[in-house]
This record gives sequence, structure tokens and C-alpha cells, in this order.
Amino acid sequence: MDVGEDQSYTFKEVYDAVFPVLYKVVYHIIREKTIAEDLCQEAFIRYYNKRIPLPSINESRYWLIRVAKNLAFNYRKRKVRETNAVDKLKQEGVKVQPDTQDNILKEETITVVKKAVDNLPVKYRTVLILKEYGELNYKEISKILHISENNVKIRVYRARVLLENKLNRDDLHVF
Amino acid sequence: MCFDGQTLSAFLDNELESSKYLIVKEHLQSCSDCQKTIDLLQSVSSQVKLANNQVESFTKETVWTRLSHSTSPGRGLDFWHRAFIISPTLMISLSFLFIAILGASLFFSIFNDSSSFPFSNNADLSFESEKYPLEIPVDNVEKVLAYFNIHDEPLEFYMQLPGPSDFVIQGEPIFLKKTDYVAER
Repeated sequence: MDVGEDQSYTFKEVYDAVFPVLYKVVYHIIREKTIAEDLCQEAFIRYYNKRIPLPSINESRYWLIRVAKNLAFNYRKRKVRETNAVDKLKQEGVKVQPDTQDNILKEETITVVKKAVDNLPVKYRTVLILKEYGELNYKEISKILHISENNVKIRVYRARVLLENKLNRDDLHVF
Repeated sequence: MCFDGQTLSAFLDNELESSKYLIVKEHLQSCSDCQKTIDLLQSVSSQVKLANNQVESFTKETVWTRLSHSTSPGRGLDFWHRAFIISPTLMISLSFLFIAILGASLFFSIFNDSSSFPFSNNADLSFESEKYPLEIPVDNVEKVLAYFNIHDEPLEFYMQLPGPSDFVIQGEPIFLKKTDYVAER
């Protein structure tokens, strides 16, 4: 499956390079593995059908992350409207290993952190997910979101401050 | 001099320029407040990363399998469906070149085309008559002055208006008569 005869990279190469980070970003926005797979698939289908080939794998990566992020947030908006208490229980949660107290506390921390990240304003949550889970640098994030690097720096800092306030209020056990 | 939170956050992410990075690093060795801020930011970052999940290999393969089925083979972009990418720089250069060529052609056409100028050396503007065999184009000032130098008689000017047929335009006012177009002799 080739993007085009003249391209120096194939669709498979783009997929192998981009899928891991794409999946992480989408998963941490919507927190559902199956839906994350579907949204990643949708993003790659749109990329494959795109008539204007992108000049490099990096440009493809930025484009795919941008599209997948938008798909994920759109899905999340729809889901928030539809969700009820039963759906919340069905969402994939953290597996609790009842063997040690430390493990239990750790899982509680993860749950609280996830909830705190989910409650951040969208623009701060987006940069935080791209930075901490996508492991992208400021320059890459600025290209994906079409904002300046300075703006990325400010948003990452503010996201961390908001998160710190929220986690401290919850009196979290720090690991 | 303490640094603001954004700079310290960028330091934590290794996003500062090397010179500034060294300055901040040196400052942290002696400033407990900044070090405390860094520790706090580091703690938040660590907690956030706790929730990170590794991409399971079978997830990647599962999605690839589904992708392979949903996109049929041989659907690469053929020549006629491919869009040609022109970089913005090239586009701007081509635009300027086009404007320059257009401007130059207009410039030369104006100055080289004498018929577009009013009162040029055009025989239509000259007067021709049986009584006055001399014909001097009205825009040739030098010839007119030369004529005056030679002749002392007064010179009568006649302007020959276009014939009536040239004024056949729908809606022409009716008070314009044929006699209006006859030059006095």
C-alpha cells in the first residue's frame, strides 16, 4: 500500500512511525481503548485518502495527530452528552491489584490524576497530553496546534499549575 | 535573580537554549525557592506520566489489519489525481514575476503606441482644404512657430469636425444639425 509512486516513504512506514504516539494521545483524551483504535483507524484512512501527499513523515505525523486529536475531542463531546452513571462504570478503569497497599494507593493516584487531567480546560489538557504522553517537544506541539512555541511553553506551565492545585486539594499520595 | 515558573517549566522539559539552560542550572544550586518550584513541577509531571500506558503490540497489528481491509490495494495516487505542491516562496516569486512582466508590457505599449496619445502626429487632426493647401498638424508646435516666422498674414484656424455619420448614436440630441458640422471657408 503506497501513498504514491514518487514518495520516498510508504504508508506502512508512516503507520509504524506514527501509530504509537497517535494511539497514546487519542487514548488519553477519551480513555476507551476500543474507541481509540477506531479513531486512529479513521485518522489513517483520512490520511490515505488525502489527495495532497505531505512532504515528509514528520509533516504526516503532525497532520495525523491534529486530525486524531480533533476526532477524539469531538467524540468526547458527544459522549459527555450521552453518558450516564452506568456508562461510567463500564468505562475501562484501572485494574486494582489487591496484594499490597502501595499498589492500591498507586491505582487511586492514577485514577485521581486521570480525572484531574480530564477536568482541565481543553487547551491546557491538549498540550499536556501531547507533552507528557505523546512525548513531543515544544516545536512539534506548536506545529500540530498551529500556535507559537512560547504559547506552548506557557500552556504547559499553566496546565501543570492547575493540576498541582487540584491534586494538592485532593491530598494525593505522591509516588 | 529568580526565574519565572514558565522558564523553570521549560528547563524541566529541556526546552531552553543551551546558554540559558546553564544559567538556570547554576542558579538552582543556590536558590531554594526555584528548586522548590522545580521539584513541584517535577512531581506533577511524574504523577501525570504514571497514567501513561504503553501501546500494546497487538493493538497496532489489529488496527493495521483493519486498515488493510478497508483500503483496497493499488489505490495509490495516479498522475492525474495528484496535486502538485508549489511552495509559498515559489508562488510569491511567480506572482511578482507575472506582475513585473505585465507592468513592463503595459509600460512599453503606452510609450511605443503613438495612436493612443491624443494630439499626436496624426493626419486626422490636420486640416486639409482647397483654399488652404498648407497642412500643418496642430500638435507640431515648431512648424507652427516656423510658419509664423515666415508669414506675417494672420492665420485663421479651422477645425474640421467629424462628419455627421460619425455622430450617429442612438439618443443623439436633435438640435445638432448638419450645418453644425460644416466648416466655414
